[in-house]
Amino acid sequence: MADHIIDPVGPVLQSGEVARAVADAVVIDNEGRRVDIRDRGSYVRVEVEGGECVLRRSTIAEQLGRPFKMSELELNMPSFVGRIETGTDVFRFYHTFEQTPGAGHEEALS
Amino acid sequence: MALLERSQWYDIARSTEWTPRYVTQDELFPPELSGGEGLPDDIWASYDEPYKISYREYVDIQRQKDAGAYSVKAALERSDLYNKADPGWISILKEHYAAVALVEYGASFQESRFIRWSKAPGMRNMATFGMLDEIRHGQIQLFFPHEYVNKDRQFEWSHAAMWSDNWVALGARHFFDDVMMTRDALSTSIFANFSFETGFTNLQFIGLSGDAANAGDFTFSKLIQSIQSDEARHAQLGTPLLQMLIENGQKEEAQKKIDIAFWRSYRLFTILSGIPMDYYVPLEVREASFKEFMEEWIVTQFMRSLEDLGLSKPWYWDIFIRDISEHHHGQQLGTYSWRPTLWWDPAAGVSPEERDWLEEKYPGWNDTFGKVWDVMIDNFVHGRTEKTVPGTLPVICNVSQLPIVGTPSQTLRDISLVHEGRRYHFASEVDKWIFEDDPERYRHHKNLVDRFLGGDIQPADLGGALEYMGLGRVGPGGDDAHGFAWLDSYRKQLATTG
Ligand SMILES: [Fe+2]
Ligand SMILES: [Fe+2]
Repeated sequence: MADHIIDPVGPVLQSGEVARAVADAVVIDNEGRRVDIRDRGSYVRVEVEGGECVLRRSTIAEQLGRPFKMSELELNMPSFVGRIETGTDVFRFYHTFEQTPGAGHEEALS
Repeated sequence: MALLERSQWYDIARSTEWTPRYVTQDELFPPELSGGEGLPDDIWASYDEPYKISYREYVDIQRQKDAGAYSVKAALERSDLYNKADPGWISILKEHYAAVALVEYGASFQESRFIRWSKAPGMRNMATFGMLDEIRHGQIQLFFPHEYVNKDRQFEWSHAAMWSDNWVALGARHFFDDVMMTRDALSTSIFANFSFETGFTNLQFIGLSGDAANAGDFTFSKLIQSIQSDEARHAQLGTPLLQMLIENGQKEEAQKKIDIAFWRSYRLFTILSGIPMDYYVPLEVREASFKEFMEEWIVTQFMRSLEDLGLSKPWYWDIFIRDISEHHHGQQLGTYSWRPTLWWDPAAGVSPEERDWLEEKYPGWNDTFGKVWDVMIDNFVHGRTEKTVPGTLPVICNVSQLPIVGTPSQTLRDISLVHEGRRYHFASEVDKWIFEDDPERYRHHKNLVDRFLGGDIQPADLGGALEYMGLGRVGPGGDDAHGFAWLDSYRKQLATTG
């Protein structure tokens, strides 16, 4: 797994129509940030670099070509990377980096 | 009728706090049941659950989840997976359902205790959905294996295993009693929701779903991802609690809870996920190795979430990193050798092609674990099958309750201590640390060998032990999943060289 993006966050989705629409929506809603879409067979990792991924209901609906409720995302989302904020129109995945200096966790993961 | 947006009424709806007048706070929320000692009283109302859902949304979404899983099952029931799938795959189903279904029901009690004893109103609210989630997981994972019971009596263990004293059930039950059933609400949420659910359940419920789809078992693939979509939501219960502890000078306590739960979860998953992923899943459909799934879900994803909270890797990180290439291989040798004591038929998973795969994923495998298999294979092909089942009892860890294993001639050593006159054995330094941290919690439990040597198992022989563990009584025990057909290539080798 070469060339990982830095500090990825975002949803892990069950492969299928919604996963494809969400992946496209993530690219649109997070313009200017690198998005990595990793197909793992039965699931897809959609990851945005830099510790923040915004996902809008309207963008998913546009990509699907039908109305979409944010709560429907749960049907297809068995996991996600980062913390989550769940609004009616926007979901946000993020990291906060509340790290105290010198606590020893800044070393790279092996 | 126009409906208000959830965010416009949510704060009012979840605010169920009141000031008790007839009892004290400690009577309403006894510290031993609620936890959170030392945290300021006004902190609980500030608990803000990250993953919000309304009851209306919940019912709508859960109905769709069930409809999805049940309709896939109904559509594929006639495809005769049981007879078409590789027997190794069927063994995974047997192991999974028996180890998981009743535990999910137990998890609904865990969530119920949050509803009653958690001091945070937001948590009580979200745990209500968590409780309903876990009832669903218990029911659906009892219903799905039921279609196989009339084809194969080992599927009866799906419902029965957790009520039995089978050694695998003893290990699983000890673990879940420790992390899920016997601690205060706050600690339980950190042990079970944060460490176990946001970490390890992904391994089995998402990792294995790819292998399932590749093996043609779309029913199981759909089922476990559907279950995990509930987990992703209610697993978030623990995160605000961790923040509260950290912000109120209890970071060390938070870290210790995670360190204990993480190790115990990991060791259990070497049996639940590690063995199936690297030995039972048919070679041609394997998505990734156990180690690779561990690296994806635990070493990278879970550790990042830990670090984001300002917490550290567990103190035993180096031991853990070595262990993920090692421990489950030892457990595979052990469980396969002791196959009559299992409720499923283990696959050996060591044909020449499978050994090439193991060597590629775990360099050095052939020179260590492979050597033990060489001896076993030699016994098989020379008709000395009786020598392939051990005549003595394994040593069992007094924390994990699982056999003590290691890399042959490298890391297998006895770690033990004497506490109040009784000797306890441990499968690692970490298990010993967990025991020493709270001996009162662990000292009374007797593992299977303790029971055997203490005279609880009669007659004190293999037959008595099998009977005690329910083998042949609760349901049939195990034998080679493929009827030893994998030995054919070794027999041919022997014929050409000999
Ligand atoms: Fe569950
Ligand atoms: Fe759960």
